[in-house]
Amino acid sequence: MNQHVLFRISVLLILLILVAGCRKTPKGTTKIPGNEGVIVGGADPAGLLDTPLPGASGGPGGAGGAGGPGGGLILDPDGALGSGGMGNLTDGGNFGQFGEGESVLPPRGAMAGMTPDRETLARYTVHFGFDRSGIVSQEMAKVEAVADYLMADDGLYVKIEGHCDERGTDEYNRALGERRALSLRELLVQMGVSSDRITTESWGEDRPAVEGMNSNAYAMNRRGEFILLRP
Amino acid sequence: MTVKHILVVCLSLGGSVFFSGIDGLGQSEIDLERTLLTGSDPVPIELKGYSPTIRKVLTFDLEVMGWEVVPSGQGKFALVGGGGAQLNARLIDRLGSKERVLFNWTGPSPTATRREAHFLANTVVEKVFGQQGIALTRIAYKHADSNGIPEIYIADFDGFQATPITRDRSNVAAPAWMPKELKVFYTSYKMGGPDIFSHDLRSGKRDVVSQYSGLNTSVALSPDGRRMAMILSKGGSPDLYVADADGKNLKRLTRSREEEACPTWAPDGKSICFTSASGGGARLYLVDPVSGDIRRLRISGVSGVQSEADWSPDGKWIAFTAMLGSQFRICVVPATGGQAVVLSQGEDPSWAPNSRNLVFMRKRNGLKSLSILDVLTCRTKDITRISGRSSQPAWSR
Repeated sequence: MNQHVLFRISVLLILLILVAGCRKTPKGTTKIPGNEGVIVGGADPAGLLDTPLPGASGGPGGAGGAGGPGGGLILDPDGALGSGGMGNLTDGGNFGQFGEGESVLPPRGAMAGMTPDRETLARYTVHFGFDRSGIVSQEMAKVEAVADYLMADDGLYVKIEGHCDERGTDEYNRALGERRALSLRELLVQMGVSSDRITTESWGEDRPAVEGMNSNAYAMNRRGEFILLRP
Repeated sequence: MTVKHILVVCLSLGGSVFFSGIDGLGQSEIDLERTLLTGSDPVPIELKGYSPTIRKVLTFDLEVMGWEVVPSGQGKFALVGGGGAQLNARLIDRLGSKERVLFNWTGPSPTATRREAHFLANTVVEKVFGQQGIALTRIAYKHADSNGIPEIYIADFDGFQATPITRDRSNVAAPAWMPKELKVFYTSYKMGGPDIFSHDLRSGKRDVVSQYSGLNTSVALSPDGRRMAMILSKGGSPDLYVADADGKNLKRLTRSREEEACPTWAPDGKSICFTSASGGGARLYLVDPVSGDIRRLRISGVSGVQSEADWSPDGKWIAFTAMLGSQFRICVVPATGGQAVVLSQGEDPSWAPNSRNLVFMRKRNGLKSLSILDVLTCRTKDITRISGRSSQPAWSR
């Protein structure tokens, strides 16, 4: 953990130097990346994690409510998947336990009316491997830069758009695009950005960055884009 | 694992075609599983005395449903019209040594309509094969015209009468029919993100039935129309949920970190087949929506990622898309698991109510368009295209 923090600080310092010329002066305070793991539904079996993140469901017919009967899945951006799931899984899949669960995302419309800025963070678009939603180490500096940018101004919000190449089926890609956006969101939260400032939206393969049926085009299209939202 | 499928007339063995007759002269059972592996020959039929337009309708309908329209003198059956404006039909059976007239029929309109021609094709199929005709069914699908913005469309099953039912000018996806009703559910990004709408096609009334934070998509209505399965990400990951068809009584069925997608209901409503990447690559799983018990659907014969399952209305088969190499293929596997059969290039199969035809999407030169597959003869026909890109078809049933 100490190594991780040291690494992060050094990366942040480098990025501060790199981006200092093109943004506002950071405020004096920087949140220390805390243990902001996201608990998905259910109770916290081990009592080791923070309370579930804010964000009520915006859905009709009510939502939220008590989570599943204990257990739950800890989303860990480092990939050390902690699963409280027991019981229902057989045979290869890891599905955790039955239960409705609560929303851990900001409600739909929480950032409605804000002015989108697709340019400022465009250089930090993160690219993914084929059928993958993990962030490779070469792309990590971009996420750090986005976290840095957001933490410098508490008044800014961000929408992460997840996209896929066309070598997947439509609805599978819509889910994969969301998984990519959520993976980026988890990283930003872990780096200290408040979770209620980050929303996600998957476009699947519907909005390719570039047209073309070759590996270069596919690589460009597997991406997560950061859209700055200004109230 | 033996799946018997009643087919009244044709039984294909080693390339030769036998006809067992009709009207109580005996029915042959055909083993669909074997037919899937070996293919079945279409039955030759002649068409005489029809205008070019009506002839086209009859040809498309009959050839989709197991017939092949052949030149005069080569048919085992003949459908003969009167040559006038009104639609007339006499179906002749030439299987025996002597011709037999199976029916005479005259359409109600002074001038023949497409709808009457569809009805006639259905009648031929029902009379000879004893199977439900599908020529009067509809499909819903996603279509982007030349401006590139997709909307949800409804069309006759052959692609005619295509009509947009949305004008959301944002993005739409994954239409699904409410069983036995003129009602379609789909995803629209109109309200600032992917939400699920229900849309009554009679009244035009729309309701948002799922608008949670994050992703709301891939809706599938239960066979009794009371519940819906869908993919939501409000819990931090794209997971499978079920709710009442109006969105109430939400239940979460999976909680994996990796994504779930593409649910489809068994016709008895007791099982949902879905895609999950939780075991590595995307594979098909079955979940009991009440107990939440999950198991893998065992599929042999195809490797690679699997998604877009669609459960046949008779409950026996699951069609799905497999990626083999870099190509997408339409496959069918028994709903109990087992050997999968590769049927065609393409994606996103949706069963017709007869559990025999599939509508699916294929890409040609990068352009998405829709085709219909007859699982028994393994033949495909393109539906009538309107300019643009069509995908995500759903057959009304």
